[in-house]
Amino acid sequence: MNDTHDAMLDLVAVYALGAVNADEARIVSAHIAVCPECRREYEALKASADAVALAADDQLDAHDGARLKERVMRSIDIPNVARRRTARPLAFITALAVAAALVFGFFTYNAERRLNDLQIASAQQYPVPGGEILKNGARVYIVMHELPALPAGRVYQAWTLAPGAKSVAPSITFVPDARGFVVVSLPQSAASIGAVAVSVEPSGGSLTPTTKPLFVQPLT
Amino acid sequence: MDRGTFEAIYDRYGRVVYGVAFRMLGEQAAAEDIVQAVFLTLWSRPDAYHEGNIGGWLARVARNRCLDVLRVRKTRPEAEMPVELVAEGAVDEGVFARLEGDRVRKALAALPEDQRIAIEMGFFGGVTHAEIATRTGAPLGTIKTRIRAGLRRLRDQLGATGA
Repeated sequence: MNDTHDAMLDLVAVYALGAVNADEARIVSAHIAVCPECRREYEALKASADAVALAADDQLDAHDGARLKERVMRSIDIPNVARRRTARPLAFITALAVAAALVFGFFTYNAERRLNDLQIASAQQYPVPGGEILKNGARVYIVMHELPALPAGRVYQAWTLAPGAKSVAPSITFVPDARGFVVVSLPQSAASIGAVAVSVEPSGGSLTPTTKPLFVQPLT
Repeated sequence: MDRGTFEAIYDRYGRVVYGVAFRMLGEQAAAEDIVQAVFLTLWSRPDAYHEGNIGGWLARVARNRCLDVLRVRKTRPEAEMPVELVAEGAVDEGVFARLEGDRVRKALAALPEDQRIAIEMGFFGGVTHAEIATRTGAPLGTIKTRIRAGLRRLRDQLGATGA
């Protein structure tokens, strides 16, 4: 084995652990697709790297553990939230907003209430190509129904423009599921967002957009 | 997925997801938000999980969401941020399903300290191996070698006695 390939095997291990940058990830991903030896090494070490997560299962005491479980189980008590989405578009959007809201815990949910009672009357909807932007209270959500799949090493990235600002700021990166569906809650508060844009960027995201945005939607 | 199955998965892996988030973000409230987000994803879109051990998938999703949080916090330059883990699991993840946290902690503790530190920083630190080299003062090539040697030793320890 030559030194160059041995160095690649070392980098494969770092890739399996998830500690490479985006450029290195592209290199390793392309290499293990054509190199059986490195592919075997990746598969073997990825299982070990994943197992490292188990070492962290001692961070929660019994009291907080019970409280957190109650919170999570309560959050799923809206019946079939996601399964309504193909039936009625408006209910779909509302249900997704509810689900997204619950994810971040700001929506006070009463398990006795029906889904129809959870209309987000205050939510503002901004249609964009292939989806909607929803603004509800302090949160802004991107809901996309049919985003095209991206090649390896590329992700979608949200951008926000503060009111009065002249340049966008980087926000969260995301990829849709196999059907092109995704719901993203932006970390920034709604008050700090004057417009939302989405572009395709290299994995890991960019500091400034490197491709033409799919859309730029003012939230007025 | 029915509620009972979901609850069983939560009981098995909820603490793992929390632990990953807490060690990466260092805040209880933020870690709890990650737990809720990850499990609500599983509940509302179970088809997002395709193959491999579901605990491994949950841990990867949690880690990736934590990287998003760290990226937004901008606590470190973008160049120091690692790329997200691919969601798909390894071909053989049987070892994950059989393991308990205590055994992994013992296996990690049995590693040479420099290997253990490199692996824990790489997995929980939310940094690249280049940043690990900077922080530890070790050459970049040495960090890569330590990570590989440590993961191989972990594989031997966890696999050899794991059945």
